[in-house]
This record gives sequence, C-alpha cells and structure tokens, in this order.
Amino acid sequence: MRRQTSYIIYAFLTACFLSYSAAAKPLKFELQEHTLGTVTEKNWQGKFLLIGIGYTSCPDICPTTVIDLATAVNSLKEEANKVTPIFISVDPNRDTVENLDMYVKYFDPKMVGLTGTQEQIKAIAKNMKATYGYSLEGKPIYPPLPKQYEVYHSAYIYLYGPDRELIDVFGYGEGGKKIGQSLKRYVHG
Amino acid sequence: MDRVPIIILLSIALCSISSASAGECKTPEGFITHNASYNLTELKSRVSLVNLWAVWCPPCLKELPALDSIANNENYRVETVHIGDNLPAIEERFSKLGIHHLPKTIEPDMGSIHALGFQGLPATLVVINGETKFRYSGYIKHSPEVIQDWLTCLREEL
Repeated sequence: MRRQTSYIIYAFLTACFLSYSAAAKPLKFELQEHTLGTVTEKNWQGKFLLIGIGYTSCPDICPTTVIDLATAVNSLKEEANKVTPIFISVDPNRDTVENLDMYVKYFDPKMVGLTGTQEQIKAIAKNMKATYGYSLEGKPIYPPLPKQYEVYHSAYIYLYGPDRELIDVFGYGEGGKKIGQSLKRYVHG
Repeated sequence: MDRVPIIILLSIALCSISSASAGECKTPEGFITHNASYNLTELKSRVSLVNLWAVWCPPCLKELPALDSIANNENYRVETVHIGDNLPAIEERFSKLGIHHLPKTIEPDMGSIHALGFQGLPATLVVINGETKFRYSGYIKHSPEVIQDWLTCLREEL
C-alpha cells in the first residue's frame, strides 16, 4: 500500500514537472520597427499577436506566410483590430526595417514588419522555438555572411494572447482562411 | 497464313505512330500534368499560359521580362495575373522592367493561390480550351524560347 502511494506521488510529481517544462515560454523580444524604433512584447497592449517569420528575398519561390497572416486577421472583419499581424525577418543582413515595412504594407496596412540584430533575432527565435539559418551551396554558413546566400527557417505561425502567453501554433499550408476560423474562436473568448 | 502476324504488327506500329503524334509536344521539365477546369480569369486564346505574380515577389519580377519576350505570338496568349489589388505598384514595376505585352490583370483575393493548390509565387498554369492542363510552381528555369516552342506545338496539336 505504501509502495503504491509512493508510485502515485512520484507519477504526480513527474507529470507536474513535465507539464512545467513542456509549457511554452511567454513571448519576449526586443526588435526594431520602421516608425516605432525599438519595440518589445509590451507594445500593442491588449492585442492578440499573430506572428510569422521569414525573409523577403526568396530566390525561386516566395511563400505565402504574410498573405496567410493578412487573410487570417482580415477574416475577423470588425474584430480584426483585436489582432496585430507581425512578420519577423530572420535575414536582417538584407532586410532593413525600411524595406521590410514597405514589403509588409503590400499585404495589409495593419501588418507590422520587425527585425533586429543577429543577437535579437537569435533571442526571439529561441523564445518562440523557431529555427532558422543561412546556407551557401547546400552548406550551412554563419555571420558575417557573404554577398550571396540562402536562408532557411521553420514556417509556423504563432498566436499569442494579450498576456503574451502562447495560445496556438499553425502549420505552413493551413491557409489564412482556416487560421482565421481558429482566431475567431480565441478572439471571442 | 504468314501474312496475319505481319498485318497485326503493322497495325500495332501504325497505332503507336498515331498516338505518338497526338502527344508529341515535349513537356518542359517541372511542368506537371494537371486536369482541372479554369475560371480565374477570362481567356481569349485556345492555348494560354497564365502566370500568377506579385510585386513583392523577386522571382516573379525576374520572370516577367522573359514572359514579355514571348507574349507577342498569334498561337497562344500569355496572361499575367497579379495577386493583390495594387495597380499603382503594378504599373511602376511594368514601367521599370520595360514590360509592353503583358496584361495588368488583378486578382484581389490573395487566397486564390491556395485555392489553385499552390504554396507560393510565382505560379504558372497552361490552359487549353478552358481546361488547366499543366502547372508549374516557382520561377520557370527554362529559356523563353523553350516555352514559346512548346506552347506553339500545343496550339498546332489542336
């Protein structure tokens, strides 16, 4: 009986530890925006944040990440202002905040483009558990980067609540309309 | 009696020649056979190459001059469809790139890329008699002449 009780306690403690370690960290970053300058997760108070990562100089095919962000948020119609769509470039070497701002505004005037130093990008990627890197002729390379190189990155879209806790993660290819349906549920609460 | 197998062999040979001539246009690598009805835009030619592009897409911009160079052809039409409603930006890009023969058609629904089964831009369809027959995802790596010859061949086959 005593042994059984100790097993139950052990299992309970293990479950507690696993749930704690598996929980995503709240969003935390310091990045640059074209008109706002330095921004952190404390900007856009009271808003949900829908965040995608990528870069703008796609060589052969350009993904639809920013389209999906815009489509998802705009599908909320009158509640669209509750969610701020954010695109973070992991290629600060080529994507200046000015160019990034012009790029994201092609998709939606509400869209926010962020980037930062290599250290700041590394920190936000780690915080979101996103991955990215640079390669040349199929081999990984590291900053300082040459003139020509390719960028690779994970392609999830993250939804954070007004408290900056992670609410949901959407896979690439789900499409903006489907993500928008999920957003509706979260925004309505 | 010996003539029977010869006649059979000749018939088989004739059948295979006629079927080869029905599909003798060599499909350039990367174009995938695809059968679906097409209703994104109105098409004016029996053979059309429909290219989906956007001003924010560098490989699309790289592709436009090549498409423009083969657009003036009576056998087929090249239709460019911009994803997203932004005519001033389209006009600026066309002027900068010296595009003279491509239409500035706009598809305002950005979700149409997914609806057509593509995961990114540029994306290209070959439509024959109102039916999508081939699709290509990404920047077309072939020379404009290869595409021109292929589309001409497809037109002559009809």
